[in-house]
Amino acid sequence: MSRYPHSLTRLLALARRAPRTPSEQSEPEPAPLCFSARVVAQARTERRRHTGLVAWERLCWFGAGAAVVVCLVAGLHAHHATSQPSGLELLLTQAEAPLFP
Amino acid sequence: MDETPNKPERPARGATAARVEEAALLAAVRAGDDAAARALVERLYPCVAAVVRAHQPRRDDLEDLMQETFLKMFTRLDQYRGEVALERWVTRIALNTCLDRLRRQRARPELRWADLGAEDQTFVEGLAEERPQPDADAPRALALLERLLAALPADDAWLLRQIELEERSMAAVCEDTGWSAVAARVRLFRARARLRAAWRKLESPQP
Repeated sequence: MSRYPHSLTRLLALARRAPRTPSEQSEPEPAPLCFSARVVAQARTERRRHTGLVAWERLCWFGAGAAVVVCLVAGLHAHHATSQPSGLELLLTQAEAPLFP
Repeated sequence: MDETPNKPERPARGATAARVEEAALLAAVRAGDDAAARALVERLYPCVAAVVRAHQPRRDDLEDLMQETFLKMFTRLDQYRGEVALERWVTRIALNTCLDRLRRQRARPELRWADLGAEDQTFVEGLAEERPQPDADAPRALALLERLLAALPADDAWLLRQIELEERSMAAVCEDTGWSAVAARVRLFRARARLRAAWRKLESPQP
């Protein structure tokens, strides 16, 4: 089965027979004056910016990691603290007990 | 003395020397040597220019695209492991840069029957008939096909030109672009479907 309608297949076949415009540049084209210097200077600037971004990203990850550790430590500490009743809780328990049993 | 066995060694030795020189240049660039980086740009410029000239979306984009290609090359240079020749690797970056630029271009409005001149309408009607088409009609066919492709997404048009017009193999397109065979087949399938749809719309005269 053809991929295209018959008329489109014929159009493609005919278009393939059309003469193409020859490539403008047949010989190797040398780099324009100062092109390489300009590109290298820009690449250096980009690299510096990229390095700065990478450093900032690392700092963010470090900060996020530190925050997770702090949260975990705080959570553990809170768990420990709540396993033993505080003075106030003991007092409240006493207050809830009936005065005249 | 028979010198025949020595003959093939010459280009191989030359190629090896070039590879060694290239590796030294790359090492110097990675170490931050600006002179080596400039030499690398000048060495690769002709092959990158050839690719960009062949695939550039617009004439005025040439310098911009060349610069973008080399900047990408420097950014990704640490990822280059030497599995393919450096020129091949860089021309792949150049081609993909051109394709990215093509993707950003807006396609022209679709081609309608009413947009065709009387001669083009007769030509399209003649395509549906079985009579042989003379070679003299080939430029008209190419021009019409180009108008049809201009209404498709530019990267689809590029792929269709490569496969349907230039009759290049999928393997060659994959080699040039770095696409996987499956990805290329999917892209081609979609591009062909869009071309079919555009042709059907053109063929059905609007009221």
